[in-house]
Amino acid sequence: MQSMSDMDWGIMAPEWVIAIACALLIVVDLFLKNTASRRWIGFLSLLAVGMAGGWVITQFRHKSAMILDGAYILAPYTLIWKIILLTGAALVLLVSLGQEKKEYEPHEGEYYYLLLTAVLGGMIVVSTADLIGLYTGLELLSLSSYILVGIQKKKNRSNEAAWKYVVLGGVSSAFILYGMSFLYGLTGTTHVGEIQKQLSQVGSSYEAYVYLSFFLMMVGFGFKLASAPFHTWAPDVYQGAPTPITSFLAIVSKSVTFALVLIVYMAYAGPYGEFQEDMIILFMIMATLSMIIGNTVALRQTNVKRMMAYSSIAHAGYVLVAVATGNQILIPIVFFYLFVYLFMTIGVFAVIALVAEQEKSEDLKAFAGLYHRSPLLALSMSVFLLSLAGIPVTAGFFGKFYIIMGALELNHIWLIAVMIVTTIISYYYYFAVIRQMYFRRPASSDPVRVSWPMKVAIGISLIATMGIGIMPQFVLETLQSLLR
Amino acid sequence: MEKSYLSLAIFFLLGIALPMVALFFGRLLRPHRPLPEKAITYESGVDPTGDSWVQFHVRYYLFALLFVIFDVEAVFLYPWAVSYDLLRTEMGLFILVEMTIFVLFLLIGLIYAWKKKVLEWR
Amino acid sequence: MNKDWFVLLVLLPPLLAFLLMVAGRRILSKRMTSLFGVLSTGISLVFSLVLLVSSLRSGVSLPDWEFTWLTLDKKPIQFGVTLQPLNVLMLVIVSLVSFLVHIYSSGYMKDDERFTVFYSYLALFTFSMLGLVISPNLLQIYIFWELVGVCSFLLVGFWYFKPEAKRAAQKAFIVTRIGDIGLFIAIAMIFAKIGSFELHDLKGAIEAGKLSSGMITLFAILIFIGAVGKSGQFPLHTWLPDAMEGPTPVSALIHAATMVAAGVYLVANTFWLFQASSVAMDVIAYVGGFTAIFAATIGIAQTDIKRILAYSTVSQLGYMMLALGSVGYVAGVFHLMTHAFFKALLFLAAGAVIVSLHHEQDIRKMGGLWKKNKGLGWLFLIGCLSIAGIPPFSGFFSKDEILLSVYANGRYGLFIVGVIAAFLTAFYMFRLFFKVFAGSHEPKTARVPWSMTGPMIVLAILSAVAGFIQFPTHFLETWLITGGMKSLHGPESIAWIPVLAVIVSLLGISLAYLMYGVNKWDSRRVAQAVPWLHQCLVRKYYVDEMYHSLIVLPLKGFGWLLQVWDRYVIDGLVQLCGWISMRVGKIGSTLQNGQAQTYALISVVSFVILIVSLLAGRLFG
Repeated sequence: MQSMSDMDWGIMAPEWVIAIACALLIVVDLFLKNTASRRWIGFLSLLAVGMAGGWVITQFRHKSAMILDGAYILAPYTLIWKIILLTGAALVLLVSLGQEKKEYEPHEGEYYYLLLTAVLGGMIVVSTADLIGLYTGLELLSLSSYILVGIQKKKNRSNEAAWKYVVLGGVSSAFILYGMSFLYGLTGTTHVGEIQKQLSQVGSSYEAYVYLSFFLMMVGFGFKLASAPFHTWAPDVYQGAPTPITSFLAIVSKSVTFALVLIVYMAYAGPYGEFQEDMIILFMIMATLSMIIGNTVALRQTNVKRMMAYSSIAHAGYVLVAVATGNQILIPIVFFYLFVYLFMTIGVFAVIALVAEQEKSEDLKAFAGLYHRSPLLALSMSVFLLSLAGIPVTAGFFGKFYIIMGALELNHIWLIAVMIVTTIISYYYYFAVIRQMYFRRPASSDPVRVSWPMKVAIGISLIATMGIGIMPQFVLETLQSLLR
Repeated sequence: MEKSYLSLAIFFLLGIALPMVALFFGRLLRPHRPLPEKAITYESGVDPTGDSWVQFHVRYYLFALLFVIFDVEAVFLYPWAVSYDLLRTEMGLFILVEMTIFVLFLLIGLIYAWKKKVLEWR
Repeated sequence: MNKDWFVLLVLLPPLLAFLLMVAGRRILSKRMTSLFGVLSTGISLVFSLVLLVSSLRSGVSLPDWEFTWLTLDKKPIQFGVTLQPLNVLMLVIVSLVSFLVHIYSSGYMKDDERFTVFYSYLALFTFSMLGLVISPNLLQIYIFWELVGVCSFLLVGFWYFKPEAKRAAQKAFIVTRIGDIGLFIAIAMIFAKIGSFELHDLKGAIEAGKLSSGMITLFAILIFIGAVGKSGQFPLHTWLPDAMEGPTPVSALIHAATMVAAGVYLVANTFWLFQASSVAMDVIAYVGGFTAIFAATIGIAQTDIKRILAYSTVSQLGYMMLALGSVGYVAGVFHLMTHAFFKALLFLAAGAVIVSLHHEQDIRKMGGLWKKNKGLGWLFLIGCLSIAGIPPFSGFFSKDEILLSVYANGRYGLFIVGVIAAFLTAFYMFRLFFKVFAGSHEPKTARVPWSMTGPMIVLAILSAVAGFIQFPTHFLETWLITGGMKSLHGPESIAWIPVLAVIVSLLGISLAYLMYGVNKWDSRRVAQAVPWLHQCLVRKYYVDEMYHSLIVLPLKGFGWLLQVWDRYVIDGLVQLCGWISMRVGKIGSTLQNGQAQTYALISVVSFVILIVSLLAGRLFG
């Protein structure tokens, strides 16, 4: 065994940056006067996220490494995950800073450093291959998000959302732990690689336990992914949470859970029995249900955030299609999709935050005539929505296109059919927003005020969405070459 | 393979059956002669007063949480202190640094609780 | 010098200007808008001239560059830039005319409320057109091809409050779309056949003999159908005269110099494809020749100043096609260039006439403008002389080249058609000229601002001297065919052809002079002598009417049937699908009752169902 102090702790630097920034900001926030502005804590958090991100980028040159007996891994895929998480967090921070009247005014400091702890949790999840590490990271992320969802103490809806999130999140964590305990019981180790080795030897004689452990965990993961039929919490929580947090849940929490699914998937990847087939069937069922439920229930929503909750359920379904194919070649496509999804979702939520703030309403009607008030904002929103809908020659289109192409190679015809049909259904509700923006009369004609952090956030999302739409192959090939 | 399903089924059945059987046999064996005194809630021999749905002050929970935090700290610190010499020969000064980090984080927790006035009874 | 960047410098300024104008629609003043527009196209012009110089100096085609945009089934789909001499020449023509039109518009459109919108459309058009002429593959060509079509639609219908403009815009869009379908089918078939959109791959496939001659002819004809739609060739020419409802600068830029020449450019750009099929060459030559004389005859009887020019454009485009069909590659491209200059000049001058006569377009109500505005008269005259083919104006040289190639190619019938068309051209152009400028009228005129006169002067100079790049040294030819088209050397000149052409043109001018200049012969008497012919010409050979009764009416009937089918069957199905989606949505949202217990229950029940069904399947299956 390698001695603890000899380890190359430097490769954990991004995590250290976030952890230290977080600890410092907590202390600083405590000793600030109650009346002092906490805005700069947000900027410092942004700085920390930026530094961590910069460090991650330099690490691409570092050769793959492992410390803590494989509990912490540095490999291209962990770095790409971290880039996704940190970009998402940075944009969420920008959107939060851009809101003029914060929905969580008295707890602004806490808000920022809790975002940091949540991201830290996510980073731990993506860079570990140890069940204990996975669980601790996931809980750090979840606990932070529970508080973030309910940070508007005085608002009933926020309280309700937080309460539901805690209770149902607790249930799902219990499922995950229970499933993990079976894995440990079968193999006597918590390391995913070891588990895989053990399972491929003993798995076939304890097939029932293998099934049970996997299904139990998938209930928990399905919950965190907001994938049907475990999605029920999502609409209420998404609606009740502050808008930037909603986007955080939709992007960061979801991406982390996908990382988790892919890591746990590895544990079961041993060559035994017909289990693999059933695993894929389970993914397919979850994908199908998510796409159908997400896209059809969204048709009936009038609250934009709630609608976006269903949209995010549907998008979890699309990514699950790629996961369901169970093919290593599709990993870059999953990354590609999550990148695309990150930018377009942040963009949509940023605009929602702006409009909701101005109009004091999250209703679909709040968007009426946005084009006549702020044409650029409406145009950006249209780009994001078109991309989410997957209209050809947008980033979102290529995300879906690659998934469909991948699924086609593996002959999952009916899965593709469901994906295409539900995508077409989804046009209806995305276009409902566009229709409001362009063809309805605005209630007032004053343009929507857009603060500069918002402008930066929307601008980055817009450029990325359009850029990926223009050069999808370049992005995909970059991801592929990084992963090689 | 069949065996594994069997053991799983037995596991489930036992889990369900045990409480049911225990309660059922308990009911069969015990005498059943209810009196009004027997029906009232048992509270250390004192006559119960008021509703059983009493709300406790939320502050108790905060104290409980704080207690858990420092309890856990003690649980970690004690064995560490006992085997400190042994560990130091094996791992060097690192073992001290590690615990210091742990304590520091807990310290931040304490400061947090202090500043948020959890330690005062208002 | 790295040329990759230069191409972007040509292409991007108009796009940036477009984005800027869309973004700053409310803020930008008219001055700022026109400044941006002129500046951006000016930058484009400067850098395309730089490219031209380096292309001339290197003597070979500049390096192309491409990047892979998407891989479809292992076949890369690329975007890129190609800079053969033809592409560079087109870049210069497009950016130059666009630059001048941008300047001109600041005067012509100065009272329009939607000034910024107009400029943003112009900028978008310039960008698309520039993109079109540097595209190295068919897909990219098609994208920009449609983009310029959209811009044309927007600009023709710019005054959408005029019902004619709205109708004309729609017609322009739909009629060119018919041609586009041909092009689209061609592209799709080519991709299916050779698995690439790249022009050089197609060229390679033809040279390697991978395609049967029938296939080549089919591709060529389909591409030509696209060109017919865009370049207003018979029988899809009808949209072009109607498109004159758009503002005059638009007519000059899009419907005279650049977009309508895109069809000719497309044929020239894929010339090796057409050369490989003699049938296709015949089709081009005959369609071109027929269009040339057909449109020229219609031009004689029209009374709207812009419509006359429009028919003349159709006729001249026919000339270019005729040249290409007779292996006169250089002649066709040469005429494309000179035509861009003198037709843009004529349109801009016509615009100036319209402005100075307070928006009068009917030539029967004009006359005597020479006395009022001599400068404008001279400019118009230079344009007329050039298009009529009088030496030393540029039109003479290019038309001579065309007639020469047609003759050398052995198409004597078409040669005679060309000569007659030249006569008619001279006649109707000078009819127009005398109607507008001669006569004893004393029209009340408005001042023509310098911003409008300046661009016309530049174009007039170019119209006058542009011919000398091919005469006497065949400079243009040497440059154009360096790009690996050695077989396209023009034929040796034959002395009597230019003489004949000049005589014919002079005859036409004299006739026009006698009839309209000094009114020696009463034109009305001529019309009365052959009333049916005159009527036929006025109604443009009844092509529109024929379309109406032959195509539009049956289509409407069919459309009615379709509508019934659509309303009761298709719509019913759509409704059903919508209804099903809504029902499923409703079930989903009913489960969403807001109670956490229910939520947890749904999850647990789903879990049990999932695991039991899959395990049961394993155990008993």
